[in-house]
Amino acid sequence: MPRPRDLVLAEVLRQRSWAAGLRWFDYHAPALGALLLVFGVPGLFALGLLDQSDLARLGRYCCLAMVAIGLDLVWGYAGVLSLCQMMFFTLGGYACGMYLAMHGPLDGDGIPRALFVVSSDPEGMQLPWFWKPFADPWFAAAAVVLIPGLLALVFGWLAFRSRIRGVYFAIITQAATVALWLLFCRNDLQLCGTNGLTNFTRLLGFDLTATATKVGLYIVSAATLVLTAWAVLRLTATRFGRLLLAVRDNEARLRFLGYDPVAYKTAAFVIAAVIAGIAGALYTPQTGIITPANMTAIESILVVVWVAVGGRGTVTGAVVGALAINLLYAWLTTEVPRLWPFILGALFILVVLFAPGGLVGAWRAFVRRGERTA
Amino acid sequence: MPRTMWRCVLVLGWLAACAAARALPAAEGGELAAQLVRLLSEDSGERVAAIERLAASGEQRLIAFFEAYRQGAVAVHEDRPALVREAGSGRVQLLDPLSGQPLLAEPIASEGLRELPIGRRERLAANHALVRLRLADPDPKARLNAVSRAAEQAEPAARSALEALAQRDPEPRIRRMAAIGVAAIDLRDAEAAVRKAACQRLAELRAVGWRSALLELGQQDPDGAVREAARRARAEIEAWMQWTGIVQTLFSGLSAGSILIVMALGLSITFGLMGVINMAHGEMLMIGAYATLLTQWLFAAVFPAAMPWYFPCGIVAAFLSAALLGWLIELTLVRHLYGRPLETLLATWGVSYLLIQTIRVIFGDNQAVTAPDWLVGGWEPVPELVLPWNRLFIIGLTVAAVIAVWWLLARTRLGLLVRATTQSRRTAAALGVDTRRIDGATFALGSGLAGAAGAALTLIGGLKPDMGQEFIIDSFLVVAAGGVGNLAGVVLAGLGLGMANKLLEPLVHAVWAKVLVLAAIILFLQWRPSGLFPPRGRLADA
Repeated sequence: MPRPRDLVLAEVLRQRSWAAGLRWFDYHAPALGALLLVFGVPGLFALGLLDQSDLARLGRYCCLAMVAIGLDLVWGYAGVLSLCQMMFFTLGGYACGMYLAMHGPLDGDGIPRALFVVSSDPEGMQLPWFWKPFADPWFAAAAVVLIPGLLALVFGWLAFRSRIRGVYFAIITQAATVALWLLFCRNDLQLCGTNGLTNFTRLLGFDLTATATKVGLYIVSAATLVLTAWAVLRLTATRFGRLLLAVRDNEARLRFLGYDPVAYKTAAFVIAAVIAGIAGALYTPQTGIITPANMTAIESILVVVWVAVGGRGTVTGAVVGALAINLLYAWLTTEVPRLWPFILGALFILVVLFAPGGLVGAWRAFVRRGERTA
Repeated sequence: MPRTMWRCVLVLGWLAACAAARALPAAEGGELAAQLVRLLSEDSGERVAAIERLAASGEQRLIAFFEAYRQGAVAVHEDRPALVREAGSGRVQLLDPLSGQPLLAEPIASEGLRELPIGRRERLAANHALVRLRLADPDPKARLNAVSRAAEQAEPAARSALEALAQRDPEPRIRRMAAIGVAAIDLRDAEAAVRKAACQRLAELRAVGWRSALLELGQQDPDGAVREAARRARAEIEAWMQWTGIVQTLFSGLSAGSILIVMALGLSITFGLMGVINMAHGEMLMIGAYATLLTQWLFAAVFPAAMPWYFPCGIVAAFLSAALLGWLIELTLVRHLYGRPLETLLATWGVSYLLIQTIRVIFGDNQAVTAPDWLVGGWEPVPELVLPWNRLFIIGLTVAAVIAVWWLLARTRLGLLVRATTQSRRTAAALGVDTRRIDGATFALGSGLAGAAGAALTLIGGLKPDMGQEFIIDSFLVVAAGGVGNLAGVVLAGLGLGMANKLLEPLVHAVWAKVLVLAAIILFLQWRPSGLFPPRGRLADA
């Protein structure tokens, strides 16, 4: 029996075997999905089969899927449930949003409009010192990575060092995101309060309203998603990835064997936070607004739903779950808006109870059964 | 004992005086009528004397008469004064000044009616008479209002009446207010010594409302000694206010912490036993609050007579409904996820989401429970420090809940089994403990406690479908800081968290207070990873 690696399409077609086809598809599905996302969707848009709002929506969902990949790394592989991934996402989004706002319409003494309109004292208002460097794209790009990364480093290191884990860690992270959300809602933080950052016009000199820019942003998001998924999958196959699994399965034993789980957990947490931050930075120019509402507690819990529904510890599951649930959400909230919360709640319970492996788990079981019958 | 007796005598004396005042018109109705007739006199001095006599009678029915009198709505009818009431189309009805009954069968034309002779002196006298009559109101609430008003107006004419009240009124609050009123009148006295004494008196009485008057006096009084006394009195009152303010803050912290303690107690029990976080625990609180609301509606519709007692029944209903729901959740969900704490967290979060949506669909977004009458108002142990009854009640409920839980866990057979299962599930099962049944009972108990907390919460806040969400994180932090399954730790951490929030709030904004408390807890867990009272021995590694 040929290994999947040797399974070329011509061979499968010649065999005319259902099981071989299934195996071929199973092996190549991630690549096919990547091709569809990066080239297929823009192609469909060029043919006029998708309109601009569909494209923008898919671009946003790609960013959210990246957050799910990050969570899958810490939760699915390292077994650390984090309920603050959207906090890192929003921080990255704010870093990018501040850059965009600085290059948007300015009011008063060179103050971004979003900040100027919520100011209680617009007369003689000065641009806060921490806004100034964000006019530089390199600084903003560094902030997108470093702010979530450093926060995750300090928070994760402190928490893991004192062996806060399991549900304790989950709740502490949720408390952190709630605290930061409340903080960002305050006007005196000079980050525009609940209104959030908006009035974006140009990104690196490109006009954000132009169709070409939108398509470009979509392709960049989809490509980054594919790249992230590939990189994280490679990472999990390394020694580091196997150690993460060991942390998940028996942390005490790992410690007795002389490893320091704190370092591995912190590293995974930081990587996930950086991925979320980058996703937020890509998300912001596509929505044209970033507000504290992006980091309410429920947003981060939703990321957990995507991963759980897609299947955790698989990376592809995170992507599938994020895209599937968001598309379902978009469809259902236009069709039966009142029903969505009930569907979401029920989905949560049913997946946890009856499909712990999620969609990808169910698919793999299906493929294995196909192989056995073949 | 002698003091109580003295009070009884005082109250009885007052009641007798009131009764006498009521009996007056029957016995001395002639006297009142005679004084009323004197108002027709041509001599102004005679009329003022009559008004003073009427005011001294304390007859409450004269209030309406004097109101009309000073507005000129009293006419002469058959050589006696009569109230005039507009009856439309230029006609008026004449009423008896005491009984308020019509004197004539038909309204008469207003033309040709002779008005009572009334001048500036009479109006002034009538105003004073009104103040004095209102001060004699037999209803303590109305009397207190009248006394406060008189103290605010500080009319020298009311001084004697206020002084009498300050010494003889059975209600301490009225006595205090009347004494303040006397001092407030004395502040404007011509004698510097009297003004000085009044300042000291106001300070002794902690007359918070007179700070600005004292400030003014301290700057503008011609006499240096009075200025000094006013300044000192003001400083004394402000020091007092600061002190009561601190007590008030501590008290709010105590009551806020109390609700948190009951919530965390429930969470600590379920978490300690099964190692799972019930994310729907906050919704148990919400269910408890809505059960209280339903109880109130039920009482209002079915037994309106028993309305004051709906609240205790509401607490029981809240406990039972939340306990039942918790038991069902354990039976259908948590039981099947044993050993997978993170999955349990997610599934119960799904339950919480469903519950919030269901309640939102049924009840809408905002509801409120009306607190029963006996919990309105507060206890004033010292002047200007009011401890609201509802918050006192919540603290009492918390104390009762803590004692009950302690008793249940430490002194009953069920508690013994629960503790055994918590310590080692497998050993307990091997020794014949039905751990499944214990799980169900514990989950029900923990959820019921959250429900009771919800009932208590209705006393100090409105009902929202997502009201439990605010508490789940805080109560988990309490459990984390206090140590799992540890009663003393939970009580201490709950009080600490409630106090910390309330104490920080005046210093920094509430949001910063939350952030600081969170940071403090994370740092605290660095220092003591297993909470305030860490388990020892084999449990430490579990």
